[in-house]
Parts: sequence; structure tokens; C-alpha cells
Amino acid sequence: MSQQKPYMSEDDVYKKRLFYDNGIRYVEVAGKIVSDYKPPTPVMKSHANQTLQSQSGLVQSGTAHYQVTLTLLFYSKKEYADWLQNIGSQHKYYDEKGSIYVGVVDGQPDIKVLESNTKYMVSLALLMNRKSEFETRSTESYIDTAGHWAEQYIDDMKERNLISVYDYNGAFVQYYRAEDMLTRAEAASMVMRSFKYLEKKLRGF
Amino acid sequence: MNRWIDIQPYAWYYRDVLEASRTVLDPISGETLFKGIPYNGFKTNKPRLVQSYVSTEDQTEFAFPEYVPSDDNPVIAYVEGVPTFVDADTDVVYMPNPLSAGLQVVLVAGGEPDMKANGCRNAPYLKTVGIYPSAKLAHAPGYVYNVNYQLRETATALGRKLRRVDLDLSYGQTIQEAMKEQVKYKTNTFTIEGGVLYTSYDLHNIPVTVEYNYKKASGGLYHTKETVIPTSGIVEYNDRFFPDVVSTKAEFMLVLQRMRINFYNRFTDREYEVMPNNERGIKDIDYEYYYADDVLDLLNEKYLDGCYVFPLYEDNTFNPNGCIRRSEAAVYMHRFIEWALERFR
Repeated sequence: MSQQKPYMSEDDVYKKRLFYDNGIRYVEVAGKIVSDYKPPTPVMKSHANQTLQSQSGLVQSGTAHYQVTLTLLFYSKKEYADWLQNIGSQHKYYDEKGSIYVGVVDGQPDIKVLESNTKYMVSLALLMNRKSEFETRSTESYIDTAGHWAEQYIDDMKERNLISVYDYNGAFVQYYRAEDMLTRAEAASMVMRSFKYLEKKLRGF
Repeated sequence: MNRWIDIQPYAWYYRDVLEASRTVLDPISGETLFKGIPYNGFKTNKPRLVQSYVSTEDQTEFAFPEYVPSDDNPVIAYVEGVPTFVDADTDVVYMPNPLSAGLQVVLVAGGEPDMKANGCRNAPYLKTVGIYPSAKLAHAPGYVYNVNYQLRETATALGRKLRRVDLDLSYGQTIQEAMKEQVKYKTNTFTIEGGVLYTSYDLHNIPVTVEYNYKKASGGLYHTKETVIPTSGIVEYNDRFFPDVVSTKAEFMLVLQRMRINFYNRFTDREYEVMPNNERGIKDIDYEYYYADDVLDLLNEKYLDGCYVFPLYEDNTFNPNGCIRRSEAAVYMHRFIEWALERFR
């Protein structure tokens, strides 16, 4: 059984795919993975120090890790920029054996500009762990938003932790009350959290 | 720094509300992300009460006329500026321990603001326009002010030093108009014009100790210190956040607009100018509304692909005076975030 498709085996051939985390969900990198490469190789030596000093994406997700070097070809500047601005976030890699890895970009990617700024060839190294957890950040969900016209928006805001509310015991409040009126306190908390979220995203820390 | 007397630390929104109302977006005007609602309508028998005394030896009981005790309207006694919780009964306040002689005691009861139905919500309101409190100083005729004097002009109230505002009166402007323009709802500020002390709204009925310079008719510069109580017929209060009052769409959009202007000012090269125009043909926003410029300007914002960020109703209305639903707020906020990330990242 493979991780990517439970009804297929590891002997099947899978498409190699790379995703990045945009804060809500994983989005596939638009670049095409080109050229031959060495599949993810486990790093057998203990790299305790190196792992601790790497970016936050790998901290506390295990000690043994894999390394892979990929070459991506982007056909437009926009596709390239979309990925580049999220280069520091967590990446997810589907390899050709059906395994899923989660990790971060290691070091400086090697960028070549081709055909007068229209194509970008990027080779990057990834430090990865085998995926071992579910992807949604918030394991809770609202019971009263199913089928609501704004369901997708409300879910996204909840995934970003901008509207979730916990009661005094720390339990998740499971009703969003989408059709209720917004009080000033609720508005302040939603706007303030969003403001801080945007600050963090726009200023890059 | 904003403090709200109706925001208590155990409320779930405590941090967010304080942070939102202390986030200064424009250091010059001091504009914050969230603002309180100004009010001066109070429930009958629950007005704002302020009374000041100088204590006598072993005094524990102070008269507090018109006060009716209730949970929502506690009394705080400032003893030499230090807030103290006290027991209060009808028309009287008991200190927890006897005071020594000569201490300044100021009793304050916040009052309970009255709510009035206003469109879709119950909201606090302004009964009449406020007048800034004032008090005439003893040496008013000879009052002089010069920053070069060695002994400077200072004022303190409730143990806090007050900030002096220089009112540069333009031609024909009254002092009250200038105060409205420059002080607005700022707290702990004072100015002296022609020997009369003017303070911000929050110091109504509260003793202020002023040190100032004056000249005698016979000549010579003198420095003096005196305590006066600035009063006013009616003031506007802006010391409550009203967390449970429903927000209107216009109010919510104004907050987003402040945030948007702030982003433009910080992440682009020039100062953002509001340029309102009703290019979408929104039927229910008139230019005469106080929020019209900002809301129209915000509603004209587009994504890079040309779609408008904020949707209208099908009949091309926005319903700015209506209350905002939680679902609508999530949608507006979500779309605003997408727009900001696309525009400024």
C-alpha cells in the first residue's frame, strides 16, 4: 500500500509532485519537475544539531530525514513568483513510489533565467520527513455551516485561526451562528487577528 | 492609551479588543484601528457622578449624592490618584480604612449608558454636543505663557501629569472649535487660554492642580500653584467600547478602510489619498453620509484580475446602515486578506 493511493501498490508508477503550504492548504507548485534525479535518500547519520537548526518546518517531526534535489522549470514569472514568496513555508513532496514527504527547502536554490526572463529553471534541495499526520490544522469543524453559502470562506478563516473561539474550558465552540449579527467584540477579535496575520505575511516574519 | 471601563480581563475578547483599540495606524493623528462609541445619554438615575473631597482625620464616610448602588455601576474612589475599591450605599460611600487628614478623595461612578434603537441595533447615543470643561484661574488677568520660562506650566489630575495642547487658533475660531479639532476624545490633556483652563472631556468635575506663571500689574514674574475643578454643562464620554453592541456594515467597512490606507501608506511610495466615486452605481450610499467617502473608496478596490473585492447585493445596494451578519463579515474579511496578499506581497 502506498501513501498516495491506498488501493495501489508501491510497484505502480506515480507522478512526482511538489506542493507548498500557503497558510490554508497545500498548493501544487506550478513548475514542472524536469531532468533525472536521485529519489529521496534517507540520511543515516544522526544530524541532531543540523535538524534543530533547520527551519521550523522540520522541528519536532522526527530525527531521521531524507534529502532530495529537484529541478523545476517554470514557464512564467507569475508561477515562479507565486512559489518563491512561499519558499520558506512547509513543502510536501509526492515521490514516484507513492510515498509522501513533508519538509523544507534547504539552503539557497540555484536559479537560472532562460529565454529572456520568460522561463526559470530552479534546482533546490529539500530536507524531508515521511508524512505521518493529517493535514487540516484545525481538527474541529462547525456543525452549523454545512451547506451555507459562505461555508468555504468561513472554513478558510477557521483554518487560519482567525475566527475560532474556545469556551472557558478550552473546548472548541462548534456553532458559528453564520446568520447572527456580528457584535463589536467579535468584529474586533476577527479584524485584529486578521491584521496580525497580514502583518506577518506581508512583512515576512 | 485607551482604557475601556466596560472591558474586563476575564472576557474572552479582552486581549483582542485592547490590542485593536491600541493599534495606532497613523502616529500623527493618533488614529487607532478600533474606536469607542461616544455617548452622553445615561439611564435615568444612573448618570456619571463625580465628587471630590479633601479628607479629615479618620474619615471613613463620604457623601455621594444621587448615587444608587447597582452591580453595573460600581464606585471607584481615587485617594491621591490611587484607585481604591469601596463599599457604597445610596448616597454614601464607605472607605475600607480610615484616612489621614488632607488627602484628595475623588469618587467616580461610571453610570449606565442608555441605549436607543437606531436602525437594526440598540446603540448608545449623544444627547447633545459636548462642551469642553473649563475653570478660571485665580491670576487669570496676568497669566503669561512662554516655553522659555524656567518654571514651566504643568497640570496634574488623579496623580497623572496632563499633556499640554497648543491651540493655534485660526482667525475667527473659538476655543471650543479648536479643542474639537485638536483634542477630540483624547484623555488627560489641558490647555490654558487667557487665564482659563480647558481640559479634555474626561476631566469634567475632577480636581486639576495647575502650576503656571503670571505677571503682576506692578511688574515681576511669579509662579503659582492652585487646584481648580474644570466643569462643563455637558461632555461627551468615549471611555466604553460597547462590546455587545452590534456593528453596522459601514462601521465594519471603515475599519477595513483604515487598515487598507495603512497598508498603502506603508507598502507603497506615496501617501494614499481617498478618491471617492460611485463608479459601481451603488444605490444606497449618498455622499452626505459621514462614511460615504471612505466606504465608496474601499468598495472600488479590485483584485488584479479586475473583479471587485467586496460584493454588492443583487439589486446593486450595499445596505451600509444595516447590521453585518457573521457570515458576511467572514466573507469580507477573507476577500480583504486575499486582496492584501495579492496587492502588497
